[in-house]
Amino acid sequence: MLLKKLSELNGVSGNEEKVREFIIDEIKAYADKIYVDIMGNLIVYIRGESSDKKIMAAAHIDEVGAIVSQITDDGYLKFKTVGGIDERVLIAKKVVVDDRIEGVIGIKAIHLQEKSERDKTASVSSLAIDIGANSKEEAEGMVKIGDYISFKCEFSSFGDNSYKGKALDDRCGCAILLSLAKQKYYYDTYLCFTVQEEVGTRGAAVCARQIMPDLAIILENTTCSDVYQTPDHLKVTEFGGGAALSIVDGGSYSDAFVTKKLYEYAKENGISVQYKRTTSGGNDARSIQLAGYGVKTVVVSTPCKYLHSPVGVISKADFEASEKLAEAFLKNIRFFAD
Amino acid sequence: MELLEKLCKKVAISGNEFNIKDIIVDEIKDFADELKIDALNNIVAIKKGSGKKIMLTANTDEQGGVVTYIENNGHIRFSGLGKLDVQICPYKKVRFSNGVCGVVCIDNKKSIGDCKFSDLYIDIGISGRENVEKFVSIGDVFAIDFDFFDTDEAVFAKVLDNRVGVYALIDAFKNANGKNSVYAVFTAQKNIGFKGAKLCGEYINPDIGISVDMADESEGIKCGEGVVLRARDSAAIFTRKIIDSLKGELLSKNIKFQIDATAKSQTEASAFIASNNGVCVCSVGAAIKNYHTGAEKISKEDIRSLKGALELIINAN
Repeated sequence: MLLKKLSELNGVSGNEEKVREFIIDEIKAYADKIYVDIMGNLIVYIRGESSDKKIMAAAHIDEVGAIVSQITDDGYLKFKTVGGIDERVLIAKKVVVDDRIEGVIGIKAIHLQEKSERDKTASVSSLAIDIGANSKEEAEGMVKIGDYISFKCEFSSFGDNSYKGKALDDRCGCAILLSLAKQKYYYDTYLCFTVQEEVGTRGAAVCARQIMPDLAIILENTTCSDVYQTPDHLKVTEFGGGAALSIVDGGSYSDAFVTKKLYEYAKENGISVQYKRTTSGGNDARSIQLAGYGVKTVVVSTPCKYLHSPVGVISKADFEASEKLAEAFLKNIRFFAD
Repeated sequence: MELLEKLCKKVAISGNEFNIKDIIVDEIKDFADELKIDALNNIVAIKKGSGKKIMLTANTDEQGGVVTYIENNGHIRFSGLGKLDVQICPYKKVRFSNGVCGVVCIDNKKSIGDCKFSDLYIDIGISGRENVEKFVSIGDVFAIDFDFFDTDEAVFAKVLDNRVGVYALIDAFKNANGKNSVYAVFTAQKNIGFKGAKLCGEYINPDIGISVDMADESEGIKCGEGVVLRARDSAAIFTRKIIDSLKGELLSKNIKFQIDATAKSQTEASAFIASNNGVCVCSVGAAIKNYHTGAEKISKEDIRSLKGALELIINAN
């Protein structure tokens, strides 16, 4: 299954090659033109009936993770996070270093901790990765400083409508773009698999400047705080509530007209849709909107519980709705925007 | 003042500047050689000329809120936009851009000083989500309501920052004499990250860029003391020769001005200073009392001085 394969590939920001190679293999048969730019963005051009407008659809191929910063005398690995990660989710997690070496993020055993240590959240600086090495030399024979670290998590279906896995942000978006590549659209369409989103929406800025699109749809994941004791208006999104449309977030204001038209289209055509209820967060739209003479942006997100952690959870129905909504955008954009 | 009043009454929250577009376009279309609106709703009015390429900016957006969720009982939840101060919201009347009015309430027993936006909701006097949705939708925007009024000396309005800048720029643009190539940009989204200014700086690529930004009187400058001429802002130091030349022009035409070098806030000039190969920049404005409180005041004499200064800039050497 495509999403499973994408989720289990490792591509922390700055090290996206394996994810990109996989996508190239899957998509090249459908591309009228395909190329990788200097930063590593993958751009897939699909010729439309009309060149009057250029439409960009973007999803980022990088994921949050970590990087080896030091090898200790005992053969443990100190690390720094890449992208925003809540430090509390790191303890006792399985990881893979340099896509080869398995390890575990460890901390001092609880019965050896002082009370003050137990009461505080462990910061990244007090954590270390155990790769089973007994000495610094042994560890240096296995890995090196600068090696990338990904969470290790097997993607699977669970419950009666959920998927769990790592890097659902934004492999969901990538999977959606892959399936959209199989169709043709009215306007010239650029499917962009961007790099380094998690460390500052960097790839997207470069990508959009090359293309200079008129409109862009950004396929993302967003928080689903649909958990115990959260008031409705702070849930961000609801699990099973459908594809989430952003009005405004910390990075960009979605085009009000196009967003509204897309929402109404979804309601009229039975596509499950909701609005994101908070205005925080950010994504590639932040960089894309400022390219050329400006780009109108729309952000469609699959709600994801436990975002930016070793295992996220999405609803199958929400994921499918996001794909349908993205398809509806590409197929009908000439009716939504003037 | 009629035009200024019309501009102040519009609810054009950041990201929703299209609500004020028509007034501006109607005023300047007969004076512009070219008029364009870009994807972010910057309005660019061009007056061709032979001299330097001068870009002037004044933002059209204001602070306010956006509806994010409607409860089952009809309570309207919202987020503040453009660094709206949450403490000026509770118990205020608000007006949506479609004219519907409501009151901001606190949903638990918190005091105004302890509130966050998540503690507030708007009551429009209609019960039940379905009924409310006939009047207000998710995504609708609103501003704190305040009736414009003026005296011989002063003007009071919900938002003089930056409707005064827009008003003064419209006036100056109409008086462009063709000496320079003038790009008057009525920018969008200043309050949510200077997006409009960043964008137009890049594609216009002017020789000189002057932003019109109002100033908070509490940061050291004074109402009634004339045009605020900034040597810098919190993000960039402005171009010395532009400032000096402007000082000279203002002195020679007897236009009152005051220098502001406090660097407490950011203006649009620093948003476009580094576009392309760099731009010579400066920012001018006027002092506002009760800045960003929804009840702003400005001196009429300062508005006149600002108009004079902008006309000087547009037709300068």
